Amino acid sequence: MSDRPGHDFVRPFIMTGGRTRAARRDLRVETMLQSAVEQPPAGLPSEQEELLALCQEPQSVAEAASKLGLVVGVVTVIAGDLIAEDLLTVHHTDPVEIELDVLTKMLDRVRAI
Amino acid sequence: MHAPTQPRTGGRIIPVKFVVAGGFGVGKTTFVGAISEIEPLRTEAAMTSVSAGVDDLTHTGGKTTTTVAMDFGRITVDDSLVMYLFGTPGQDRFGFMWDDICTGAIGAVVLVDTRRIDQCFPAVDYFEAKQVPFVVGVNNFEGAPRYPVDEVRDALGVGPHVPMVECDARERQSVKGALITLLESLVAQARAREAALA
Repeated sequence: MSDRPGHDFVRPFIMTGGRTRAARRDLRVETMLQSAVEQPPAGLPSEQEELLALCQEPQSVAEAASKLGLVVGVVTVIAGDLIAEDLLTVHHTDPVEIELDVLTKMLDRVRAI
Repeated sequence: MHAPTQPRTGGRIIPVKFVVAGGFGVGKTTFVGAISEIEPLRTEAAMTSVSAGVDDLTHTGGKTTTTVAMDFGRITVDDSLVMYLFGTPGQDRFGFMWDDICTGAIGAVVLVDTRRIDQCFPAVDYFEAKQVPFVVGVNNFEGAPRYPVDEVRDALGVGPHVPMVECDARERQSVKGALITLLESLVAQARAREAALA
């Protein structure tokens, strides 16, 4: 199949125009997305509008994909487009150094479950 | 272009990722569900032509794409800190997805089924190679032979620095214990790093 490059198309990516790679390579499954606008501007493609609406509350890429019923790669492409338009922001794109106090907080939290 | 705006609600949230790995059917999703504050969510990644060369799709007829499910859960620590637990796809043939799931993970739990101990070798190899700290959870299934954890350690060929715990993925307390063991070892490593810098 790989010897027929014209037929490598994957249906889940039709809404991204066939792009499977986000402009932003730093979007991971756990990256938090948050809408930068209260109202999406008129005329956005519906999938962009849906992602913005969902991300009024901060969501990870994986949560957004699950709730919208989209594969992760599609969400990263859509999110990348919205970030380029300043409609969506990400929290901490660089890996955050997890310090001792953060680890201790998580340990306390899990012990309290 | 639109004027950049500040995030409107609250501060920024740090997501901290953990991975639960192991062979097919070892209880990864059960593990996640036992400790997650939400029902585990399922998300899918598409296998593109990139993976089609790696993966054997000859049994899927004329289909050139498929998706791989991964389940994940969440534990909110406070309004600026959220833990995510991601289960890796079980089958070896989805190994190409591991980088997508595991990059940035600060720790992992490798679940072992003592009846099929070799099935967790790829996970152990992966986390050792990527230097992701992990604990081994020995999932004692009913009817499975019970081995002392040290024997399992020998069988896996992991060093004494890797914590080993018995873990029944169906029991919340047991899952919690495995996660606490992982976090305690991460705390100990962080303390050691700080001491080395002091």
